[in-house]
Amino acid sequence: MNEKQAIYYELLVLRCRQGQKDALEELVRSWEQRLFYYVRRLVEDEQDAWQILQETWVKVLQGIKKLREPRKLPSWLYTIARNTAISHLRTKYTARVLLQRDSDSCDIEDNANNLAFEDAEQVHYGLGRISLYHREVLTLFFLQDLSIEEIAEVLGIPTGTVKSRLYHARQALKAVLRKEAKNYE
Amino acid sequence: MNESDKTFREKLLDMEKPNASYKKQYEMEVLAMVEKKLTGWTKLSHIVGLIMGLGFTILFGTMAVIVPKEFPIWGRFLFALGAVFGLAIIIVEVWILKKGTINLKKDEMAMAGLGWGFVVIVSAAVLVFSGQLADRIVAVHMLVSLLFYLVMAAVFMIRAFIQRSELNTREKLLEVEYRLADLAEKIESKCSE
Repeated sequence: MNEKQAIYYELLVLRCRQGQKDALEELVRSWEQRLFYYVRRLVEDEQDAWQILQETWVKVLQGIKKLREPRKLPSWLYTIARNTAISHLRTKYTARVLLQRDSDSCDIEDNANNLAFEDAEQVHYGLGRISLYHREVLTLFFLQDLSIEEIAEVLGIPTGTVKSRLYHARQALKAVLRKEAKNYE
Repeated sequence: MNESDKTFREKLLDMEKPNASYKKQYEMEVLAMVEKKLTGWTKLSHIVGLIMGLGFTILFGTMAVIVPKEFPIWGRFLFALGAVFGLAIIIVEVWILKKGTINLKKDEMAMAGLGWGFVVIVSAAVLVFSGQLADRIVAVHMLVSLLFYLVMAAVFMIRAFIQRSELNTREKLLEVEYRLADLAEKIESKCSE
């Protein structure tokens, strides 16, 4: 995050704390698409995703006065969205769903590294076909709002684990895309 | 924006095609949330405020008109001022109730100002009456209690004012910092060209 962006977040948070309607609208407007994309990757049902996003905003508006470091706004928003989605998943399925590692990284070849992710359509398609465990970290990475340290903060894991998860998630995505390409051939 | 100008993230976000009716419903609910709508209790407190304003206007307005001719002119003026103050409360409360939402920054300062105005007017009225009293001890008691309320009101008002000023100063400083950062970014990009 550059200095200008950090100041912008601080200014936005300060205005939201003052209850300025314009600032609250700006906060929602500038973040809802990204947060929705993230939440949508965590839950299957679209209506649930909108509901989670709405609950996220309730929590954000209630908690913004307590946000100690406004510069951490992006990771704070993603953390709230994630926690809201997890409690939703807990009520629907079991808590294990998010935490369990799926087997889609087992048949990964080492030479898969030369595949670059440049096609957004392919990535979007692939994200829907890998496990939730991999999808979550990769979505946060592709949304480009957070550094590795911030992703670790959101997921509540060490940075080293994020890097390793990202590596495996990339491999899983590549495997899915390669399989899809073979099917076309 | 041209499709090719978009960043990878923007392209990725565009891949998500939300259901229009779900999105509309969500937007309506979020808008209601952002607007800080008046809830049951806050609405009731504003209705009470409106009734108080009506009471002040009628009471002070009537007093200003019916007081005997020998009553000091500045006493009559204070009653008239009380009526105007009551009218100001009515206007603010009707305005808030009509729009059904609260603007924390503007409305709360208006309410704090009205509270301060109320204390000052009551204090002035008490001063007038205590001057008229034959019993000096009762008059002194009235003045001491008045002083207590005046100091309390002044402390609250000053505190609210300082907090608001601090936030405003911080906001202005951040605005300047943001402009400087923006300028620095532009200069940097020009230099790199």
